[in-house]
Amino acid sequence: MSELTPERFRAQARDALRDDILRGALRNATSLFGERREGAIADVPDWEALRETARGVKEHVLFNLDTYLEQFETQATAQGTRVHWARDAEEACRIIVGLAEDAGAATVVKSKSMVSEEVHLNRALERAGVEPVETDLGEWIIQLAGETPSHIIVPAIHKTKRQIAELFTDKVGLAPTNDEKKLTECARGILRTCFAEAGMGVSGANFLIADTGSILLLENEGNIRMTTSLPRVHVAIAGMEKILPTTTDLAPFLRLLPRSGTGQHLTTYQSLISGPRRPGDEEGPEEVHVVLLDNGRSALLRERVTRQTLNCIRCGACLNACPVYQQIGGHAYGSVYPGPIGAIVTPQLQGAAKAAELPYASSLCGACREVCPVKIDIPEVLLHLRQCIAEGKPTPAAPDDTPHRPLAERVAFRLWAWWWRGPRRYRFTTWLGRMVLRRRWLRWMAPVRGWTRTRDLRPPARRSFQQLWRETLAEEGTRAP
Amino acid sequence: MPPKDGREQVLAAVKAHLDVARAAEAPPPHPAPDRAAAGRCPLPADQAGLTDRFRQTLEKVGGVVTIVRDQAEAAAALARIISDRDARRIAVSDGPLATSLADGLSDVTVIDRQDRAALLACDAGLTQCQWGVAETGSLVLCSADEEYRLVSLVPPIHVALLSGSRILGGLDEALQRIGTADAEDLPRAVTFVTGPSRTADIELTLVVGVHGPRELHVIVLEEETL
Repeated sequence: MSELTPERFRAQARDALRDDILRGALRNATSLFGERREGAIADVPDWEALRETARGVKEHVLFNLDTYLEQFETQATAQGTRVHWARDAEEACRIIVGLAEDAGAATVVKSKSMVSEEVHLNRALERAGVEPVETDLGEWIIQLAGETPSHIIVPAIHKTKRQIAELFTDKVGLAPTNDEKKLTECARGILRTCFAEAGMGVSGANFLIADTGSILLLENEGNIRMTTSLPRVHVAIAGMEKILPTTTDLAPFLRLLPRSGTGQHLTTYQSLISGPRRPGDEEGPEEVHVVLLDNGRSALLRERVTRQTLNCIRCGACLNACPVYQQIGGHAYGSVYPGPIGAIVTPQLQGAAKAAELPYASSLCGACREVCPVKIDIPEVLLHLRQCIAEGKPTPAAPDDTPHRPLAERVAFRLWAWWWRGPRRYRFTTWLGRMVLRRRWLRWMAPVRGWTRTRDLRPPARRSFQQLWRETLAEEGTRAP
Repeated sequence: MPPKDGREQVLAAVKAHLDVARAAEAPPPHPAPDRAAAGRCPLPADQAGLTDRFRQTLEKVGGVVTIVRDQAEAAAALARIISDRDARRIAVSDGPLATSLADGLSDVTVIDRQDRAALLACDAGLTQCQWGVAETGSLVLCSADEEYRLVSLVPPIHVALLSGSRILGGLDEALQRIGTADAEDLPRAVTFVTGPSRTADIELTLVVGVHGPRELHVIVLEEETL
């Protein structure tokens, strides 16, 4: 498989549409999560007020992020946690590889972290001779297969049980089976050895608490607890927007996130971690590090329309709700963050030219905005990005990646704008259009096919609105203005 | 000495961009002080009602709750759980009640918690817990009170002892009790546990007991204050 990139969105989407297994799996997953979400939010007395509360907290934090970041650093340092700051992906990788080398770790166990995917941490560790082992079952499966996640919450959603069984037989010598319990047990056994031997554990962080310097992690499997409890060194990597003011602020977010993500009332485990073990403690890592990642995020703070992107708590609800994602899945987007949220995150962090296709991978139906637990107006950001692309303006985090529209297209639109400014020319063209566009054979002509291949070409009305207007006014005995 | 990293540049970038925003926009309102209660479902007011709700919510996600009156009944309930599952080697936290109930069990070996190999091979883990949460059916375990982290995670069965008087209503109440400690007094780890370990990563089929325990038993002692 060639490397997935946002530039190749169209080709990747076409490949996905031809993959019946993938589309079946996507249909099952997205509809199941959608239904479960509906069920789980039903017992919240006022879901709208809860979303509004969460959005209010996020907006307040982001508007004062400098203060909260420094508060988090001070408090975490007081706990004995070491705080690191990474401007970009390369710096984050350099810091974490350095920590692995200091720890003398030959193996690093990892729990699921979107940010570690964003900075391509596994690649950096491998280059330094450190073996990263993903320990979330879904992530481990795709690591064995040499693939990338296709869904934020269920990374291996694109693989069938049969494919996974064959993979286990091939890679770890498991006897062929069709039982997901056996497959899970096999992974459990192998990964236990990894947990016991790893010199360092790397996790993400769902939330950072400013007034206590703590990190909070949610999960169902227990691999995050293993990763953060067993190895001597624990490193958490987090986007710096993950801050909440206080521990009690977690409550509304813990009510929102699992319901929106998997339709659970609460995930099985929440771990609130505040520093390394103290003298006299029997367990817990001896070192705890937090890497705060910028990687373009600071530039999104500048304007209200882009800042809301940083409200995201990575629940995946917008993926499940999106009619485009439901058809093409995560790989087509060619970016770490897929679906509607990926379509706004990727162009903003990686560049408007590189990911120029993604803001168009939406019908602007607004389903993502409806389900978003922190009320990000994703269609608004999509339109903002489309405008940037059309005007050839780069996004602030990637000022060198200027989107470029072909000269012919720009000239054509200029001409069109001029032509239609004259009423006679306008009337002539709409008359011509009404005559020509009624011909059925036209839909097979080369330039029109681009439209009719995936949509119907509706014939225009026989008479224009202006004609009808005049006639109606004439009947009423009034003169048209 | 901290390693040289992008601290100054990152903070300067955040400030510079926010200064532009702060010049152009009014600040969003400070979140309301009662925001932690947002979205909390209605909960019973009395302790018996909370215990009942706790049991219902935890059982919905596969936890098994046994309600007993006192230590003697708890010992009997524990012995039944251990012998029904034929558990021979158990790991026990350093919580005083957990230790004393484990001492009373016959036909079991209490392993050394510090022995990693023994811990990985044992049959069950016994801990106390500091709070229960009726809203979600969660247990709250704090490292300041006991060495619970591996005992409650590594063995295939986790048995937890909970005092009925420590069952709280909402998640926000539990978080409030943790968060009020000074930074230096905060427990290193606080874990909320709601049911057995689970995954649905293979074709969305639920499998219980992936990395953590596949069974969670909670013995609620109604008349004890732990």
